[in-house]
Parts: sequence; structure tokens; C-alpha cells
Amino acid sequence: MTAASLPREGAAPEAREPVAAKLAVQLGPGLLWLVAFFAVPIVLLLVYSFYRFTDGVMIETFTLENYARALHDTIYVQVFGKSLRYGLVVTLACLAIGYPVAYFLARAATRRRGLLFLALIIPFWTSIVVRTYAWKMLLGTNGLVNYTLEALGLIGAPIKMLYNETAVLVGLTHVFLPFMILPLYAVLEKIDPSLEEAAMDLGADRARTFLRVILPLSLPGISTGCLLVFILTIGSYLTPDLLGGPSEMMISNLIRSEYYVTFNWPFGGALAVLFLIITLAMIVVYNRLFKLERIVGN
Amino acid sequence: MRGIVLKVWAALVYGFLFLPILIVILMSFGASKYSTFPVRGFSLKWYGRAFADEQIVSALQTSVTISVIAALLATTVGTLAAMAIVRNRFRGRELLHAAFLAPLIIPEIITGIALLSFATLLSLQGGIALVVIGHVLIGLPFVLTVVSTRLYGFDRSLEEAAMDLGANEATTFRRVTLPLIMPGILGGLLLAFTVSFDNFLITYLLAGSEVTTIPLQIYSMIRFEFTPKIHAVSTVIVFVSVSLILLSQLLTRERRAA
Repeated sequence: MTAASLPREGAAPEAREPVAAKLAVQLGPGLLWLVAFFAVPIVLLLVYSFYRFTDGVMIETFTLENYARALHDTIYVQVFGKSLRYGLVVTLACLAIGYPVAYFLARAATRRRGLLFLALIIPFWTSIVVRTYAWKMLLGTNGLVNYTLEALGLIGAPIKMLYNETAVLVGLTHVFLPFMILPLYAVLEKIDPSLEEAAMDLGADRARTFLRVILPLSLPGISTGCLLVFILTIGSYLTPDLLGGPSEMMISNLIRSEYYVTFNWPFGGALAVLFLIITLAMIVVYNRLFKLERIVGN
Repeated sequence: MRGIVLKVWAALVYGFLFLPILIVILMSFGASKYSTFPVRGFSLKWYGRAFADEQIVSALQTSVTISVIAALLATTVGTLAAMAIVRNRFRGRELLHAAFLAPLIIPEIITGIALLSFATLLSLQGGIALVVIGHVLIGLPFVLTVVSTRLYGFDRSLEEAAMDLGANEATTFRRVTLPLIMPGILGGLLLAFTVSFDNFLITYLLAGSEVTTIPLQIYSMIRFEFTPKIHAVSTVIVFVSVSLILLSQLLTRERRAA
């Protein structure tokens, strides 16, 4: 063994160069893809957002008027405000609905846990187009909910349940709930049940055990789940488009219509840049809180 | 008592998650041409009609073509990047890892219109190539994550043993490294395929008028031609995605059990 490994020991100093070359070959394609098709296009978006748009044409002179319009015109401010509000409502709904499920899953018997986990992955990976239009058949005037309510004699005639805020919020909660449950489960599963037992042996009741032991330990999962659900929700396009009316338009619908309907790329670009800033701010806040939480933990 | 409340709650939530999908599947087997309740009769005719519909079949072909190319590219590029990131210590490594995951967090509308602006600047038409470029971006984070996990759990003494026994680097990679990380690579490939196959927004923004994938076809049918053919196509693609995902789970979990 020793004899066989000797030549390699001797070759080590010269191996420096090949390592750098190998690294370049391995990282090159990925970096190229990220820079050419992600970073550069986003910089281009930023550049366009400072251009003028006159008589349906983009003019390459510097202006801040796109940002001024986006930040002052009530219509646009309202769309941003509504998207953020939907984000908050859906995030809280997913947390409230999903936490007990994640806890149940984490404490289920091993065999059943695997099966329940797999079952959770199915809606997670089911096409969002399918999951969204399915709600049309549940909430429509001839849909399952109206049919059931009528059959039970609770209503005399079908109620209009589609194309309003409630339909959009229900649809969004349905689509993003797995993104909350999965990170919560990942954290809760790692919490040793004996910690709960210890707290209760020391005289804490269930509520106190939850608040003082389980909740603090599951904070990383809560923050990850909330960040994911919030960012995904405010970026939704399909759900408000299919289940909402004109007044449920969200940021993505607005940006698309600027790009494809009015062809005002500078203004659409400015809206996209503002949206990007909001998203990045969320991530920065998350990082701060997360690190803060770690320091507190130590 | 608390156990029962939790159990009932979990059952209700699973019901909430599955009901819409089950309704679509149920409706696809209905006999009526109206998607109303209660569902009457049992028939496979909507499957027959869906697969006799030229637009649907062509959309299916386009989807498979795009997803296969995007998945192969994302897997190759992502596997190489994962090897570099997992096995080396260099400056900016963490940042680079985060950069590869970024397309997952940055809203798709931004990725989509940014790519569209870039393509227009280069006078590129929307179409299959552009859609593939976008799909590779969102497939990469999945490949990188799955392959990295595999590489972290990798016993490097196996490679050293192969080299000690006289194998050169290329042979060691081909005969030792590759077979050991293959489940991760295949798992990543399946995830990247599914991400591409189910993607709506980026495709919608980049496809142009000539290219229609299955999600775009379903979307246009929801808006313009609402027939139970939609339920049949949807059931098929749900089945495809779910099978691929379960297979990928199987591939990436198997080792941990061993």
C-alpha cells in the first residue's frame, strides 16, 4: 500500500495547475449559463428601466420617470400593496394550516411517515396549471362546492364563488401549502421527542412545552417556509389570472401586460426592478434574522 | 384527545391538497361533455378524443422535446458544477452556490422578461431554443442540490483505492465515481425534466406564437375551448410527473437505507 501511494505523494506539488484547470472545466459551463442567460439579462432589464418610452418606441435617453410613475401612480402602488397583502395572508394561512400537519407527520410511526411524506410530494409536483384550473370546477356555479351545499339544502341557488379575492386566496394557499409543510417537517423531525417529555416531567404543561421548547427549535423551519411561501405568492401569475377578476391582478400580471400588451418595456422593466428589490430585501432580512437566531441560540 | 384532533386536522388538510387533483381525474372518466356535478356515466372517450386532437399531440411532442433537451443540459452542467463546489475550497464558493440556486427564488416573471429582452437585443426569435435556455436555469438548482447531497455522502477512499491499484483519473471517474453518484445524477435528471415539463410562466413568456407546450395548451383550452379533453390530458401529465418524481425519490433515497 505504502509503496503504491508513493508516486502520488511525489506528484502532489505539480498537481496544483491541473486542479485550477479542472475547476475551470467543471464550473465554466454553469457560470457561462448563469452569467449569459441570467445575470446579463437582468442587468439589461435594469438598463431599460431608465430609458424613455415615447409614441410606442423605446428611446435610449436616461430618465427616472418610469420609477416616478410606478411609485406615485395609485394603480401601480395598489397592485404592489395587494400582492404583498396576499403574500402575508397566504403565508399566515399556510403556517396555521401546515404546522399541525408537519408536527403530526414528524411524530407519526416511521413506516406511516414515509408514506405520508410521499403523499405530500404528489401535490407539490403536480402541474400548477392543473391544480389551479381544478379550483374552477370546485368553485364554479356548477362546481362541487355549490352542488354539495345545494344538496344539503343550505342554499337555494348556486352562489358565485369564482373571480374574486377569496377564490384567489384559496387557490394560492392550496398551491403553496406544501412549500410550508416540507421545511417545517424537516426541522420538526429532528427535534428529539425526549425534549418534550423532559419539559413535561419538569412540570410544564402542553402549551408551555410547545411555546418554550418546540416552537423556538422549529424557528428555522418556520422562517424558511414563510420566506418561500411569501416570495412564491407575491410572484404568482396563473392563480389571479384564472381564479380572479380584473381587480385581483397581481405584480406578475401587471408586468406581463406592460411587456406584451402595451409593449412599454422601460416601465415594465422598472416594475420588475422594484419587484426584484422587494424579493432581495426579503432574502436579506431572512438572512439577518437567521443569523441573529443562531447567535441567540449559542 | 390531542392525538385525535391532530389526526383529523391532518386528514382534512390532505383532503384539501388532494381533492382538486382527484376531481380532475374523476371528471376525465365522465361521459358528459359538461364539467358539472354530479359526474354521470363512465367513459374513456375523452382520452380517445384528446389523443386524436392534433394540437394536443403536437403540444405533447414539443413538451417532451424541450424537457428532454433541458434536462440533459441541466444535468450535465449541474453535475459538473456540483463536483467543483463540493470537492474544492475556493474563494466565493458559498456565493457561487447561492448564485446557482438564485433562479429558484427570483420570481419567474423577472427571469422570463429579462431573457426575452436579452433575446430581442440579439434579434433571437422566441421558440424552442429560448424556452430550453430558461428551463435549464430553473432545472440547475435541483440537479445541483441532489448531486451535491450524493457527493457529500461519498467515501473518497474508494477513489484513492482505485488510483492506488493503478487506475488513472479518467478510469477512476468512469468506473468508480460515476457509478456511485449515478443515482443522484438520474434523480436530478428526472427532477429537471419534471420542472421543465410542468413549467408554465417562463414558457408562456418565451415561447412566442409558434411553440406550444402542454401547460400552454391546457391554459389556452381552459380559456377558449373548455371540454373534458382538458381533464384527460391533465390526468395523463399528472400521472407522468408523479411517476417520475416517485422514481427520483426512490433513486436518491436508496443509498441512505443501504
